[in-house]
Amino acid sequence: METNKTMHQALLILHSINRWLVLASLFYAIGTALSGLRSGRAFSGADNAVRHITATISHIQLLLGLSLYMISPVVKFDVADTVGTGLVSEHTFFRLIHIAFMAVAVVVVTIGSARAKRIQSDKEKFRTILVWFGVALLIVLAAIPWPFSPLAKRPYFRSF
Amino acid sequence: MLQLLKTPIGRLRILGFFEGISLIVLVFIAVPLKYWAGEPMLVKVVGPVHGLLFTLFVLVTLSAGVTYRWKFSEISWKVLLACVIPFGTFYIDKHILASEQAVRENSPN
Repeated sequence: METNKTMHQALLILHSINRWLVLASLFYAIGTALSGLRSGRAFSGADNAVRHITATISHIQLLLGLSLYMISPVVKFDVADTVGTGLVSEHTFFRLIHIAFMAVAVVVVTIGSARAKRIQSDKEKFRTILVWFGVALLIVLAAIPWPFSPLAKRPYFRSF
Repeated sequence: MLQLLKTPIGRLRILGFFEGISLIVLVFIAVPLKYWAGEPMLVKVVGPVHGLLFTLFVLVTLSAGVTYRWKFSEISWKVLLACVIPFGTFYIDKHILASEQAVRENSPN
């Protein structure tokens, strides 16, 4: 039981920190795609690395999240309900909404990344990344339990 | 091995290998131990590991399918089916993925 608790704590912290990497990489990839599209420059090896690393970070976040999901008490039990504050209970949010939105976002990132890799034209590569990663970013932003979210609230940073 | 990591299909093959092994350990060793010998420890360890490998395998299959324009009715469904059948990933590695990779690497894209 004790190891489970430590594991849960560790996964929470990692999942929370890695969120910032997910966001930063998505913003960066979208930013470079936008500037690349505007300037009409060639799609470089660095651009390709950004595409791949962004997708990989989101995959890691998915695996961390799923590991957390399997042992999370808030997913398992519908007890710690904060009554009448949010639109949905925390239990419902983490059991259904958060995981569904985020899984869709990861799939969108994966497809976008693979399409950008396949497409030949540099301009279309930038455009594909811009559109697919952009849609994924919107989904992610909506489904993160921000401290100001009406769905569920969690801190920006978790202390060790 | 490192060369395999550089392409989606190479990563899929590596992942298929580990996913296949984790499924075999789970189905033929861990689950019998739990239900016939009352020893659930191995399921607790291997279960989540297999779950995560399975998830990653599905994602990377999706990625490879989009990258290489696999038709779902011809290749993708077989790959996805294989990862839930014991020894399935080894079968498709030999009969589908190895030859797919050979084709891709002789003519990029």
